[in-house]
Amino acid sequence: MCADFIYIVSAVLLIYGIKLLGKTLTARRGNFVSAIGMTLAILITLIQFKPHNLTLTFVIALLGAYVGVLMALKVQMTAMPEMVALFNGFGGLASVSIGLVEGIKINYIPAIYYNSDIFFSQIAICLTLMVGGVTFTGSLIAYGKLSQKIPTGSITFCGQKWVDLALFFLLLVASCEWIGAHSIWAFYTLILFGLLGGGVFVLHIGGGDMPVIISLLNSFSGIAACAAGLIIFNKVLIVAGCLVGTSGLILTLIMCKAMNRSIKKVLLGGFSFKATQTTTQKQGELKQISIEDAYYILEAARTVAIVPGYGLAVAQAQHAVKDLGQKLMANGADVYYAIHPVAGRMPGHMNVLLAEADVDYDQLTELETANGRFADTDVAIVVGANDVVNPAAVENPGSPLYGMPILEVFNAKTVFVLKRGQGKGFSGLENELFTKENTRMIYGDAKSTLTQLAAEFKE
Amino acid sequence: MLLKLLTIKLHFGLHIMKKSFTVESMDYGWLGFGILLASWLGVELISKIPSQLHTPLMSGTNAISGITLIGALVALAHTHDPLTEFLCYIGVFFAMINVAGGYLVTDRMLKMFNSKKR
Repeated sequence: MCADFIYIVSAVLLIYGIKLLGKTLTARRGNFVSAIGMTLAILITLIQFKPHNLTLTFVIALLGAYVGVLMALKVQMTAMPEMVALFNGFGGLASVSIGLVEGIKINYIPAIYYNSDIFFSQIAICLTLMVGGVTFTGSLIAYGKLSQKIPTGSITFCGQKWVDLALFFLLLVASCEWIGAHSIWAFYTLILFGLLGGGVFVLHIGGGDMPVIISLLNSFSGIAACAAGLIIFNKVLIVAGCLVGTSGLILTLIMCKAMNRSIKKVLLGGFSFKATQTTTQKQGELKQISIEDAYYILEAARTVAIVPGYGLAVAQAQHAVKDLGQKLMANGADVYYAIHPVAGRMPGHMNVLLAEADVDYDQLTELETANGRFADTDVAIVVGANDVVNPAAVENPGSPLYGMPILEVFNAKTVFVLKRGQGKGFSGLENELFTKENTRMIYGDAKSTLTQLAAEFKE
Repeated sequence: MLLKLLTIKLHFGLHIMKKSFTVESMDYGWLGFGILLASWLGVELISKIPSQLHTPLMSGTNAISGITLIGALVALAHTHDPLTEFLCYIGVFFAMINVAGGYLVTDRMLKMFNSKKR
C-alpha cells in the first residue's frame, strides 16, 4: 500500500520533470526533479522486492552508475549524439534481459510462474524482446555511424526490402509459435531475429536521417520499458515507458516535419539517387578565396550571419566561431547565428555547442527569422553546413531535398563556405550553393580557418 | 488541463493499488485506460517545445527510459537459479549506466544553457 503510494509520487515527479524540461529556464530543475522521481522509484523497488543478495546487487548497480558517470563526464559536447545513442542502446539491452529472464521462467518453470495469465505475459515478453532488441542493436549501429566507426551512408543491398519483410514475418511467426505451442526454439529465434532486425533496420538509413532515427530509437526504448512493465505489472514502469514512448514519437514527427521528409521515406531509407544525378549538373566553378581577402570583406561587413552545421562539431570549432563573432562585433558589425532545426546530427545540436562556447542567447536566430534577414546580410559564413543550405531544396523540383525548409543563405550579398574538402554533404548530394556567383570557398579545417580569420582582426 | 489529467491518473492508480503483485487477473480495462492517459500526456507535454531544447529533452527522456532498471530488480527478486540471476544483473548493470549517464549528460548540457542566462 505504502509502496504503491510512493510509486505514484515518483510517477508524478517524472511527469512534472518532463514538463519542466520543456522550458529553457526550468529545464535543469526539471531534469533534477525527474532524477529524484527515478531514485525514489528505485529505492522503493529495492525495499519492496528485496534481492536475495543485496550486497551484490548494490555493487553491480554502483558499478553501472560509475561507468555511466565516467562516460557522461568524459564525453565531448560534440560527441553528444552518439553518447545518447549508446545510452539508449543500453536501456534496450536491459529490457531484453528482462524479457529473456521472464521467458526462461515461463519456459522451464511455468507451474510456479507468478502471473497466472501466462498468455498475457507471453505477449508482453514478445513485445519486449522485439522492441528492446531492435533498440539495442539499432542504437549500436547508430552509434557506429555517428562516431564514424562504420560507413555513414545508407547501406543497402539487393532485395533489402524482402529481407526486412522476411525478418518481420519470421518475428511474427516465432512469436505465435512460442505463445501458441510453447516451443522453446521459437523463443530463442525470436530474440535472435529481434536483434538482427535492429541492425538491418538502421544500417540502411542514411547518415542525414540520423537525428530522426535516434529520436525514434529513444521512443522505442520507452515502449520496450513499458512492455517490460506489462510483464511484471509495475505501474511506474508502464507509465514512464509510455511517456517516453509517445514523447519520443512526437519529437520524431516534429523533426521529420522540419526536414520535410515523411517518416515513411526515412524508414525505407536512402534517397532515390537515379532521379537526382540526371537533374543535377555542375553549373559553375568553385571559387576559392584566401583568408586575407576574406578578412577584407568581413571587415567592411555591417551584418554578418554565421551558419553552423555538423562540420562545426567535427572541427570542435564552437569556441573559435564565438571568438570570431566577438571580433566582428567589436568591429561594429551586427552578428547573428542562423540555426537550422536539424543542423548537426541531433535536433538542437548546434544550440548545445554554441551554448557551450557561451554565445549570447539573443544572437541565436531560428530558421524563419534568419530567412527574413539574409537579404540585408553582407556576409554569411557557412561553417560546415551543407544540406541545410542547399538551394536545390527551393529551386530544383527534381532534387530529393526539394521542399525541405532551408536557410536561404544565397540571398546574402556574399557567402563564405568553410569546408574540409570538395566532398558532398551527408546526403551525398551536390550543393549548387557552392558554385553560385556570390559564393567563395575557404578550404581547410574550420577551426584553424576561423582562428586565422579572428587573428587578422587583431592586427 | 494537465492538472485534470494528473488527478485522473491518481484515481486510476488508487484503483489498481488494492491488487497485489501476484494478481489472479489484472483489470485490463484499467490497464488500457492508464496506458492511454500516459500516452496522451506524453503527446501533450512535448508538443510545444522550443527546438533548442530538443537535444536535452531527448537525453532527458532517454534517462527516464532507464527506468527499466526497476523491471530488472523485480525480476531479480523472483529469480532462484544462477543463469537468470546473472541475466538480471546484466540488466541492472546496463540500465544503471543508462540512468546515471543519461541524467548527468543532460545536466551537463543544461548547465551550459543556464550559465549564460544570468
